[in-house]
Amino acid sequence: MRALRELPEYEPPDGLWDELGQRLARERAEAPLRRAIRELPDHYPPAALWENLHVQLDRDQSERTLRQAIAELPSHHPPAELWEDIAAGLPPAEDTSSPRPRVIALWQRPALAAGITALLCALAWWTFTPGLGKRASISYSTIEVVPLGTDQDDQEMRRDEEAFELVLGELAVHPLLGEDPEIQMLKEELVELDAAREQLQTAISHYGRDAEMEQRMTRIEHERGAVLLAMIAKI
Amino acid sequence: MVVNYQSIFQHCAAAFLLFWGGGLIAQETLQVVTQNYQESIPFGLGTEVSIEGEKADVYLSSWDRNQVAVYLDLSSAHQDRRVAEQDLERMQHTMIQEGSKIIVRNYISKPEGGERPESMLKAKYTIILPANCPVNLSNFFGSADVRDLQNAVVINSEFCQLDLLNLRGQISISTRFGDINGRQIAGNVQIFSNRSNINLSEIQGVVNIKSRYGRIELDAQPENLDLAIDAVRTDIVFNEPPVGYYSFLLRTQNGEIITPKEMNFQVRQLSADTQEALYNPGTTESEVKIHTTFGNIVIGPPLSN
Repeated sequence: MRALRELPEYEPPDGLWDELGQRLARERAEAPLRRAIRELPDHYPPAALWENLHVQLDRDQSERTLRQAIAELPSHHPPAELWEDIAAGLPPAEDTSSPRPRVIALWQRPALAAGITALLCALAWWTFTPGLGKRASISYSTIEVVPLGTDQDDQEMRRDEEAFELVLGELAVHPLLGEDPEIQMLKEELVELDAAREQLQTAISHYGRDAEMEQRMTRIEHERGAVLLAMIAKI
Repeated sequence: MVVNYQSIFQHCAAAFLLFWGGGLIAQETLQVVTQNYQESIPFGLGTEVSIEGEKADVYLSSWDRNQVAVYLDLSSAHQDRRVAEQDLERMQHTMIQEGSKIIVRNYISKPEGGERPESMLKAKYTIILPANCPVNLSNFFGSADVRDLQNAVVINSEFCQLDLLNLRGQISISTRFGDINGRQIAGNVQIFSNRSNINLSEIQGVVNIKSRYGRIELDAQPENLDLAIDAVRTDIVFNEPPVGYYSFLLRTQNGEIITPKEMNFQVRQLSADTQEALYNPGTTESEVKIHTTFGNIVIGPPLSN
């Protein structure tokens, strides 16, 4: 108890109570405003708004692309003879005195420029945008490939075909195998494979020769080879 | 015997250089010109998509938007860029909407007596559409990767590799000289194949396959399968059959039937060239019927539970 009595006494600064009073008065005055803000209803944007914003952004992007394309449009000048031809085709002027240069009023120039720009924009938009939701572009790149096919391959193929002709010729004159049902079936199979081979060759002539086409041709050749071996086995 | 390691090393090094050097010499650079087209078309009830490709690689998949997005690359490759550009002009395409049908097509304008294109020409489709959009795809030469569709898929292809994944519904495939790799195929499935190999896994539903000249290899989900294969000159392999989920009726003419001992098939020789094998666990109505001529039927070891 003695220790407590001996503790020093402190008084708050003189202006503190006044300051506290002022702050409380200010908060009392602001309370209705804060309550009103809290009670304000929530509003959310309609879902379509985001979609519209997205479309608007896309349009801005398209316009930028369009402006860039217009800036890169080449300028073309007609050949000098064209003006002479046009002049020759015109009826002779009644007034032989020197023509008065046409004067475009100063106020007309911005309007004229705006009109031309609008026309160019419309033309470019029509040219570069074939339809809503459509885009077209061109790109360039390189690939590394292993060259396919040589003259030697073609020579080997010719030799293979001679073997087929030889076997088929042999079967045609064979006294027993001419009507053999299995030989008939093998011949039909060969006709089917030959047709597929021709179809593939036509496609190669239209679309070029690539690894995929070569693989397919190789598979057909293997199957033709198997048919040939089966025929030889019968002989 | 004295082993001359130095000589062996020299030979190996020479062979390596020859192989590697040869490979380097054989490479050539082609200039590729690609014309890209993109189109987005709104999808409505009843809309169907028809793709008619030639020398095309087609990728077809689905998303959750009501839009059909078509990306088409037509490309031409040649050593000379100007030749590639000229030949690219022969590649034509159309994207049109006729009523509820969206038709996408590419083709080559064939010269009449004129010069053939010198470049390698190719089309590449990427088509993303709603999963319930019916699709009709025909493609000649190239490949098709079709996945995640749930309504009707009709594919008619020649010389075209088909990769199928997660397809459900009415599925009809006709292929000639083009192999099929499929996984998670379910529904009412019809496959007609000629000179094509078929590899199917995790199949379900009613599956009918008619095949000429090829090899069929498949495995199935352990439930809801009615499979019928009618084949000519085709080998058929059924891997890991789940025991007790379906009965088997197998028949081959001029071929052999091989079955696992664990399943105890009843094998009968119907005639000199015809063999039949039956297995019925008596617990299911699901049935696997396989008939082939001049081909073998192999039922692999059963799936261990």
